[in-house]
Amino acid sequence: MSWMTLIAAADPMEHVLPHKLFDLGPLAFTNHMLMLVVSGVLMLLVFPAIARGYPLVPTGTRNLFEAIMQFIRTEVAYPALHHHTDRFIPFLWTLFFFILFNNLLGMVPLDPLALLVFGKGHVMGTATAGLSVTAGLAAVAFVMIHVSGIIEQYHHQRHHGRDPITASALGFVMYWYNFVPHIPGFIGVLLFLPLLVLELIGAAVKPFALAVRLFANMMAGHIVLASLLVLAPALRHLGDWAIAVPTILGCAALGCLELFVAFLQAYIFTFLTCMFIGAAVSPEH
Amino acid sequence: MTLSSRKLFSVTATICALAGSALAAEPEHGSGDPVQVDLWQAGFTVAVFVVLVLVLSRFAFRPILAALQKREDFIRDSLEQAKRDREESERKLKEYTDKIIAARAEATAIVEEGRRDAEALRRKIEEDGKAEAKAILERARREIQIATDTAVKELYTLSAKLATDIAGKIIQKELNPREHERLIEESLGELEEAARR
Repeated sequence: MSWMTLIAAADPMEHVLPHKLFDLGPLAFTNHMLMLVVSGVLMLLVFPAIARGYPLVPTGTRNLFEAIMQFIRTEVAYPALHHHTDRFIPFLWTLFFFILFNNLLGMVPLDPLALLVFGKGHVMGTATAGLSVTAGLAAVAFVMIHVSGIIEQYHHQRHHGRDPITASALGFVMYWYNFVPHIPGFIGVLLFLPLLVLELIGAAVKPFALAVRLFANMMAGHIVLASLLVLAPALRHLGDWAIAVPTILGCAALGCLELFVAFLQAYIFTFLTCMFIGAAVSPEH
Repeated sequence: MTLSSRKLFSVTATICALAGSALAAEPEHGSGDPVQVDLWQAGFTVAVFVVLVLVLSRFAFRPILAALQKREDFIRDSLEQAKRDREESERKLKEYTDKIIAARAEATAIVEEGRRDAEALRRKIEEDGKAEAKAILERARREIQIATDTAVKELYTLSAKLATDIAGKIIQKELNPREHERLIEESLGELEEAARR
């Protein structure tokens, strides 16, 4: 049985679910975690190398990354964050490239290679096709959004001449107070609590939506690809060409779509995080 | 005082690390359900991401951002400098154009004045020439008149002398010099009278 048959014969969900590689004390180290480490190491290799002696006019590989970075900075972050942009841009660049690297690594057929080399499948995979990973990223975004908002309020209080302790306390309170749209008059007082509850639910839903969107998109693409491969052995009686042509063309077309989705989802996650941070640091908007 | 983004990331990192360790405390993992969140994996994701943010900010993204900002400043300064230079050159161009117009007007005025002076000079020279020619002509006429008068006078004198000599010979009588002189005077007077008549 060839490795292709092995892949095709498997349950499509097998390709997207995390698989335990080894035990790390009481906890399991999964292939998704390995992919996170691999993408992290790749980023640590690529970006500091690019940054070293960065010239006034970039050339070669720097152009590739700079085009993306400048796009994130000027087209995604700046409209939402304005003068705060450069304060958050290292975080946003890391977020975008971390998701992108994981999405793209998931598209490289590393797992069949691992199967060939080590004789063991599900070593590699798409980390962002796991809800646990996207939930972790959404948690980071959630913390970043609200911590930034509270710190901005702290600065605001400090700007009004309050001492650091008062400014911290007031900053925290004012951040949550500004969560609710300010309605003048008695109706505003009456609606404050329900609106606060609504806004708090909204604040919780935002990272949830971020996590689910990225996870669902990445998982769906892989399931579709795997399903096509699963169909192949089932249609064996039609003849080799009848299976091979639609399967390969379908996989290639969906692969292109997946490539687009890999960039799109990294962009959407970063873009929405920017919007939420922007709303948190500028409550007046 | 403003908190730097590094501090902001540190605060976030601390919170995430605390959250991560809390998540990691959950032993639940390795699920067959794709929509079940494994807190250990989520915590691990947070930890990897926080490490990446801290390391990459320090060693990659901040230097790149500084380079981008430096380039933006350079481009902004260059554009401002170019704008200033263009305004300066436009100002100078206007200044020189005005100067050229003024110089051209001045040159025209100078040429016109020269032409007027030359015309006046020509007229003066012409008038002087005419006056001088007239004076020379007048002088020549006078001199001719004087010469004519002198010649006529000498002719009269010589004629009278000849006439006297002839008359003396005729009358065979020598005239003394005084009578001779008186006779000539009388003859001359008659001749002049005859000439006037």
